[in-house]
Amino acid sequence: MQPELEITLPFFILITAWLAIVAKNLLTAAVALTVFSFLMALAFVSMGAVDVGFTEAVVGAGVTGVFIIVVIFKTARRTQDRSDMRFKYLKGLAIAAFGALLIYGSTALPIRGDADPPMNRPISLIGSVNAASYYIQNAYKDAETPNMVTVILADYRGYDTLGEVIVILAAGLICFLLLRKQGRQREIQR
Amino acid sequence: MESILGHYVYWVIIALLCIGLYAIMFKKNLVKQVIGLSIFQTSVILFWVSSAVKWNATVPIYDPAYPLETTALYINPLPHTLMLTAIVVGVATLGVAFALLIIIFRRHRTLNEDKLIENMKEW
Repeated sequence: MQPELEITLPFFILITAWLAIVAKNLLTAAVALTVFSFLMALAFVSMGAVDVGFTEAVVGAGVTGVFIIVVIFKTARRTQDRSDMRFKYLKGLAIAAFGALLIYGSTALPIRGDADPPMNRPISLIGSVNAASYYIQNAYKDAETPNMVTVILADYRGYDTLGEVIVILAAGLICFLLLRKQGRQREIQR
Repeated sequence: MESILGHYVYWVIIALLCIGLYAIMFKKNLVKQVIGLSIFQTSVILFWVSSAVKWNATVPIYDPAYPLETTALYINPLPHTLMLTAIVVGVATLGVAFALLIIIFRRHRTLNEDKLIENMKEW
């Protein structure tokens, strides 16, 4: 992990996230969100999650950006950027309380990068073999594939991936049916 | 000092979560709210990935130079796998949200929350 990236990346990630939310033009917001996703992919890679970084760059940045741009061109491009000021203090308080609670909780988390917390030990707290350690030690023996993430995704947790595919199929069908039915109703109205 | 160095990434993630929550609560445009949801989701993924980090460890790809018996030499691959699934499912559900937005716009000609509520009262 590079210290330079560790310092600069969070800074730019926060700036682009804020820009994606406050930008008046929705197209600007879409581009800012794409840049945000690419920086996020860089952060994943710098933290050693190469597969997650790859997926985030392709799916998170590419496909999400295309989705938003399609929606913008199908609808209105300019947003009247007025924030909803009803219950302003109540909502601000809710967000502040949420953040404070999470920061209070984060102080009890193990120090990042420590190899000793229960999640990373070879033997779990109840004495059985820890899943992550088992995967690291046996993935290459069991599947002859060097990439452990691939082995877990497609082999040990194959049913998980099957469920993921079912969700994607359902989502694709929903999009298709929603947009198609509306078109036919319009023709009938004409 | 060590505690700050070990936890500051979590604080960046919490700030991102608050930014996403701000967009969901305060913005009136529905596209902006969906963008806020997306930011919220990506920061949760960053939290999982950053909790898998081990210092002085390599990426979870088998390298003969690093013996497999000492698991401290490889970054924990399990959160990475779970987050791969989460990213792809997240984008699929985001597509459903945008399809709903397109239909709402076709029927009401607006994506502003206040105007939508007024339109619905007239219906």
